[in-house]
Amino acid sequence: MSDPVLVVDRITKRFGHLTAVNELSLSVPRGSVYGMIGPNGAGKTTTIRMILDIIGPDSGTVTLNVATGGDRSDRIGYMPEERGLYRKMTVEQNLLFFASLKSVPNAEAHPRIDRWLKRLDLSDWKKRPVEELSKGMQQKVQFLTTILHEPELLVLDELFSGLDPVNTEIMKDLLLEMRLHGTTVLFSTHVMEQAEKVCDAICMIDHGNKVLDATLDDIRSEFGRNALLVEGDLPAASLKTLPGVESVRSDRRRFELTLGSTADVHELMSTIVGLGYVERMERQRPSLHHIFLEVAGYKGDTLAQAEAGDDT
Amino acid sequence: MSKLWVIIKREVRISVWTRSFLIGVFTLPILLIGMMFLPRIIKSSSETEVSHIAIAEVNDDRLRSIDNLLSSDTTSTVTARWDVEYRSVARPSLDSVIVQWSESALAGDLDAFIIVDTTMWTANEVTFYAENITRPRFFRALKSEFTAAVVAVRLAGYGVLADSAQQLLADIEMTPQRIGDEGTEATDFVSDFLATIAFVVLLLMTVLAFGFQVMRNVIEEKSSRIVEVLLSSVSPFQLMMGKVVGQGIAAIIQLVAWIVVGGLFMGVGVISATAGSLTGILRSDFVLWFGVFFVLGYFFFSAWLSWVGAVVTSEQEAQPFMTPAIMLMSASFLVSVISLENPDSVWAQVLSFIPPMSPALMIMRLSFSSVPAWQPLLSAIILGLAGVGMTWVSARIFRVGILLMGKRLTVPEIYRWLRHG
Repeated sequence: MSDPVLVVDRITKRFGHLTAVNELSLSVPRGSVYGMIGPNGAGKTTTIRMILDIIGPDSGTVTLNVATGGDRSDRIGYMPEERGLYRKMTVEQNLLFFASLKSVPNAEAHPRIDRWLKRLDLSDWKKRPVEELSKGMQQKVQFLTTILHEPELLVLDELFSGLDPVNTEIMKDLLLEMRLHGTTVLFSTHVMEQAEKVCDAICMIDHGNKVLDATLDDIRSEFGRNALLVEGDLPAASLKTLPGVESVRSDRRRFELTLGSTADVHELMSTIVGLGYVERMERQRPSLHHIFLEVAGYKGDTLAQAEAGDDT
Repeated sequence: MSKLWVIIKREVRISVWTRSFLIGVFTLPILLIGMMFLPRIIKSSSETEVSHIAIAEVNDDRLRSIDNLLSSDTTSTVTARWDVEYRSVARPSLDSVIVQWSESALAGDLDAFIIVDTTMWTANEVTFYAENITRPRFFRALKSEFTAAVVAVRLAGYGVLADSAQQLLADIEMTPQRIGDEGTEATDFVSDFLATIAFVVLLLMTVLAFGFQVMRNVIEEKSSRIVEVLLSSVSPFQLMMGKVVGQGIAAIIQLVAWIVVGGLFMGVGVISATAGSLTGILRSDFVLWFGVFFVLGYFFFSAWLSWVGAVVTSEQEAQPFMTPAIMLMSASFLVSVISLENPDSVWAQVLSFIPPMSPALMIMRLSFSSVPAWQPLLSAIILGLAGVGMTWVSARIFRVGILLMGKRLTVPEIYRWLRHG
C-alpha cells in the first residue's frame, strides 16, 4: 500500500450542469487488481478517461508512479468499454500498429505477437483481416493490443461486458497471470459478482461520488459479520425487538437481519429458534451488490452529510 | 513526435497500398490527355463535315449567287463546307416554304435555314431556323460566312468583282507566340485553355479526394471506437495532424505518380502534338506554385474535413458540414473557368487572394497570364495562415467531438466548444 502506482486526488469533472465525477480520490497499490464498481452512469468511464488523460479534470490531479523516461502513456495499457480494431487490416498489422503507438520497436513486437497469438490459439489468423474473425477472437486480439507493450498499469473499462463465458474465464486467468508478473490492473465493471472473484481491493462509485474504498478482506470483515439470514414461520414484529437487531428486511418467510456491532450472534440464533419454526438460518456474507445498495442507500438518506464527509 | 509518425505511416500505407490508388494512377493521366486531344478531334471532324442550309429571299433575288459565295472556300476561317439551297420566294408562298424546310430540318436533312427579307439590307438582321440551336461553332461560322457573302453582294453594287471581294474580306490568321522568360514559343489557345482547366481540375480533385479520405478515416475510427484507444496514446491534435499529414503525403505520392506516368506517355510520343503547349505551361515557376498551392489548399480543406469527421458518426450525417466545402470548391472551379476568357479581370485577381478560392484561381492565372511574383507569394501566405487558423479551429472542435457518441450536433454547440474548448 505504500507504493501506489496510481494516485487520484480529488478529481472533479462536470459536463454542463451534470457533475459526472465529484472530488474523487483513489490510490491503486502496485501489483493489485483494483476494481472500480458502480452502476451504469456512475462516472466510472469518465474517471478512467481522466486517469488516461483522454479528458482533463476540472480540478484535482492524477499522479502516475510509473517508470520515467519516454512517454508515460507507454506504460499503461487501456481497453475501453467500446472496443474496436481496424477491420480491413490484418491481425498482425493491427497488433504492430498498436504496439508501435506504445513505442515498441517492430523487432521486439514480432516475437511477442507470435508468442501471444500462439498462447491464445490465434496463430492461424495472423495474416487475416480482422473483419474475418469471430467476435470472440476479435476480443482476444483487442486484449493483446493492450498488453503487447507490457504495461505497468492495465486499465480495463467494463472488462467483462460483451465477453462470452469462455472468454470471460480466459480473461480472468490472464488478469491473475498479469498480477503474478507484477502488473497492476485497474478495471471497472457494473457486474459486481465478477469483481468479487478477481479483486484485491475495490472502490464503489455512485453518482460520481466514492461511497466505499477498501480491500476486499476489509469489506468482508466489516460487512460480513453483521447479517443474519433466517427462513421459516416467524413473527417479523418480534424479530425487530430482539437485542442487537438494527433492522429487518422481510420477504414472506425470508428475513434478513442487520445486526449492530455489539450483537451476540450465538445468543440471537438460539433466541430466534425459540420464536417459531426455523427452516434455515445462516450468518451471511453479503455480496458486493448488497453492500453497494446498502452504502449507496445510506448515502441517499443523508446525502449532504455523506457528500461532505466523502473524501476527507 | 514518433507517435505522430506512427499515425502518419498508417495513413499513407492504407491509402497507397490499395487497388483504387493504382487504378487512379493510370486512368487520370489518360483522361486528362484525352481532354487535351479533344479539341483536335472536334476540329478535325468539323472540317470534313458538310452543313446543309437553305436560304429563302423574300420578293428579291439579290443573293441568288450566294451558293457560290458560301460553298467556295473563300477564307481561312472556314471550318465547314456548305451545301446551300437558294430560293427566291414571293411573300404569299413564304409560309409554305417555312413549313416544308421545317420538316426537312426535323428529318435531319437540313441543319438550318435563313429567311432574308428586303429589310435586311438596311436593318442588318435576318432570322434563322434550326432544330438544334446550341451549336456555337456552327453558327459562328455560318454568321461569319453569311455576312461575308452579303458584303460581297453589296460590294458588287460598287462594281467590285466577286473574286476581289473575297480577297478583300479574307480574315487574317493570328498565330500566338507566348512570351516567356526564356524567349518566345509557339502555342495554341485551345490547348492552353484545356491544359489550364486540366491543372485546376487536377488540383481541386486531388485536394478534395484526399481531404475526404481524412474525414472518412476519422469517421471510421470514431464509429469503430478505435479512437479511444488511440487517444490514450496520442493527443487529439497529434491524431488529427497525423491523419492530415498522412493523407497529404499519400496525395503527393499520387501526384508524383501521375507526373511520372504522364511523362512516360509523353516520352513515348503519344501526345507529342500537345506536348508543345504543355511545356509552355510547365515552366519551373508554375510547377513550383502548383505544388505550393496544392499543399496549402489541401492543408486547409483537410483540416476542415477532419473536424467534420470528428463531430459526426456517419458520412450521411457529415453532409451539411461538408457541403460548404464542396460548394466553395465548385465555385472556385467555375469562377476560374469563366475567368479564363479574361484572367486579369478584377474579380479573378481579387478572388485569387481569398482562401479557399485562391488555389484554383491563382493556378488559372499563373498558367494563363503573367503574374508578378509577389502575387502568388502573398496569396500563398494568406492561404497558409488560413490553413493554420482552420487547424486551430479544427483542433478545438476535434478534441471534444471525437469522444461524443450517438448525439447529433448543432452549430451553436460547436460554437460553444470553440469558445470554451
